[in-house]
Amino acid sequence: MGSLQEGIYHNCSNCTGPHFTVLLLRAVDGATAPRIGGLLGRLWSVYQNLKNGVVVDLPGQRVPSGELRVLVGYGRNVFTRPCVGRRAPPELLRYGFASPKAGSKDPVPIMPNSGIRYDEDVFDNPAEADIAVQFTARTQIAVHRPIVETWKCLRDLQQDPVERERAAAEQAPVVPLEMAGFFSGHQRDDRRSWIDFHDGVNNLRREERQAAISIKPNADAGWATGGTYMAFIRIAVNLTAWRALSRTEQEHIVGRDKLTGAPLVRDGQGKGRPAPGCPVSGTSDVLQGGNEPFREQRFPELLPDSHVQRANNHRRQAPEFRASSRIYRQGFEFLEPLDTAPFFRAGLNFVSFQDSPERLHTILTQDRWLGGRNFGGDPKPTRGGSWLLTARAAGMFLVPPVVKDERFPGHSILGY
Amino acid sequence: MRYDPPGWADRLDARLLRKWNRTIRCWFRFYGSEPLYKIKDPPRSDSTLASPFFASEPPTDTTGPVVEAKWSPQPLLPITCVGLERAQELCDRGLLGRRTLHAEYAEYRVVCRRDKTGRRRPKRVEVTTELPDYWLCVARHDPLKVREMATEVLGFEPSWMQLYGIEPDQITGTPRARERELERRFAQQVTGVGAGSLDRLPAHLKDVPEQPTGSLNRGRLLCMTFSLNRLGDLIEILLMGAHPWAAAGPAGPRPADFHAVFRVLTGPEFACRRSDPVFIAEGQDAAFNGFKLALANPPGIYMLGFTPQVFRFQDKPLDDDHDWVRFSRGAGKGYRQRLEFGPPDELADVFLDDIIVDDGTEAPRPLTGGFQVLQQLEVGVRLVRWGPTSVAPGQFEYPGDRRDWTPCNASKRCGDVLEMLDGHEQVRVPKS
Repeated sequence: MGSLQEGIYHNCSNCTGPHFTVLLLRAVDGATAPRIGGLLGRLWSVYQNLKNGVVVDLPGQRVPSGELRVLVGYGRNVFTRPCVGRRAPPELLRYGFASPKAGSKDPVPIMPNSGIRYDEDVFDNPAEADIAVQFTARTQIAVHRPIVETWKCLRDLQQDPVERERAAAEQAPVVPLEMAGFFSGHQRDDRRSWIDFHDGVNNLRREERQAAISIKPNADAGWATGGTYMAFIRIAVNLTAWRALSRTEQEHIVGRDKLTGAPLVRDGQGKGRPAPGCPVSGTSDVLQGGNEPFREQRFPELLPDSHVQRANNHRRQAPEFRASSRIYRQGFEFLEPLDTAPFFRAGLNFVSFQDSPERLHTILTQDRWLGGRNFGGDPKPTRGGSWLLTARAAGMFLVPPVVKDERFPGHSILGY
Repeated sequence: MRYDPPGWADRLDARLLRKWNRTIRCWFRFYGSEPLYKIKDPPRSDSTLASPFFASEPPTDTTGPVVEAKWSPQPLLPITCVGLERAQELCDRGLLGRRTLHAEYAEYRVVCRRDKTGRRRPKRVEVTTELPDYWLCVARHDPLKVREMATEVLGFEPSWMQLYGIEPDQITGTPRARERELERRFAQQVTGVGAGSLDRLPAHLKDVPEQPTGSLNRGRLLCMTFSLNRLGDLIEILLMGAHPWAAAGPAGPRPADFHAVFRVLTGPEFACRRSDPVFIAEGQDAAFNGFKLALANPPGIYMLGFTPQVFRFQDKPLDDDHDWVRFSRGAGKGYRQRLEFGPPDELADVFLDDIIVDDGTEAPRPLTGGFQVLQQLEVGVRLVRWGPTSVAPGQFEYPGDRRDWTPCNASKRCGDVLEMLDGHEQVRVPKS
């Protein structure tokens, strides 16, 4: 059985840096799986060199690697390419994201019955890619450099006369992969999100992560045992809509006190109030030592429609069991420039790992979880008719295990 | 406190209610005296399933909150054993699938009808979470009542032959002997006796098969019959979990690892199901923190959530209020025990497989059976939780730190599933 790839923070030796990019690669028409595998192998070498500070255009020089970590995942499309070496795990096919529809009158939900919809101007989902490569590192340049080095590699290949000749002879594309896009982000040292509330407080504890996210032995894709599934959603936050709500309204939607992060529990009238005793004496924030019991929110009296309740509806169940629907979230915030006012878009790169995509599917679609809910609270747009959250991209990827003697994780998928 | 009938679905007179409460208490008594550890050389030989952290009924003055132990009832074990697609085929395989694989406290049946061309097609799915023990209790003490219940579920009045294999009036003897005979005959015809307690069955039920032989709950669906979907099994697993399972730590006891608990309690199959780990987790969490639990009133397995919006007909999603979503056997949302899903017979030209399962994939698939419906259901048990009190050092149970266990796909039950698959594929592709 193989082991989890790097870039997932599940033990001390797998710490991930605070900077993130995800590169999305799409196969071009006529690309066969072995040809994709050949190119991915070449890219993999580039990334391994970058981990050692080696850049192709700077022979003999070393640059800081920023403790770069590289993870590769495979979308369902790659399993449809000619001569593919593995059959797609049925769960990857069954629990994927929907496509945005050009010309659709209403924004399309990212999954049926999900309250999160694609943004109105998203007609092509870049995360419907064959391959996703996640880069995490201690510095921003370390996660940006692989994007540029990927472009260099693809361009050099395109202009290589030997490759052109070979491709012509095989009537195949010279470069079987193209960049469909990339997204970047960063973690915040205040552990809050753009809506100012604490985020990730109730994430899986480090020691629980591997058991919850490693694919268990199974009949559908035994070869993937020890790997995981990665979900990626680029979520934009409508701060105008959010700030139109009162603090009380915001707290009821999230299920936390905005300042201290204390979970809200129901009082006798069913209204929310901070859990008694949180934060404990001498502290002012749920993240400070001594408040650990309040982070897991095991109180039965949580506000039933709040985000914290609905995002973890089976809270007392052991994370390794599927019925818990627990996932490990490794999110990275983003702020990107726009050409028009307010000249920025703020949001979250939602990245989650789970042993089956069924877990996230349950959370996003089921009635008593976040099904029909955009974030929390009522299943309706916020005041003014706009949605608080919208998706810019959404993809589900199989992250195969690291297997001894494989050139790169998932090489066998590509029919070597 | 007195427990009411599951879901408040039926009105029982005081005598029948007493009998129902007695049935519940009997199971608590029976399992309470069983040894806690199921392994050789247990850490303690005097521990029994009876737990000070799980009461056979809540105190009348408790104001503790009601918590829900809940899970998706789509069978997980066959998915692990033979994969998602084959698991769906096997679970949808009529009575055999129901009896062999519907192991998550929900069972279903697919109602088929012929279309205009004479082809047999799925029309509706019926799902039940009703405990057979409740039906058996009513049948033993009040044949008229159980016939009334069956009439409500079936839409027609079943004959006494179908219910008991005999006219109840023809059963003679002392009142107690008559009750036993009614119970025996109803178990034979409708409920079976399950497998969880075969060695401790009362004498009059010894010759009753595990599964019913009558047509009423085989060709149709009255209540659950899978061998472990029974009140006794539910109580057993709840009691198993409700101990302060601990591991020694430098700062005192800490909660024990789940696999260590499962290793000393049950076979690996239980950890491969969705429901049993939920019960163990709920019980351990309460007991370790000094809280007490009891089944909330009324006890039962309930359909807590359903997401029909992923099903589309003529390009429109269905919703809870759609008249193709019909819940029953429970007073109000959260207490329902039966679901009928699909077009009624009056719509002669519409079938279940005209509904599309739109789960986000590029090729939405037709709805062909109950396996896909169960995926959108959430079922659960309600528990009252009150306290806490301190846990005395001697109350902690230490299962040890061995986590070794058989992987689910290598367990004995998987062998049974593979055998069933083999038979299934031989039927599909006859060997020449």
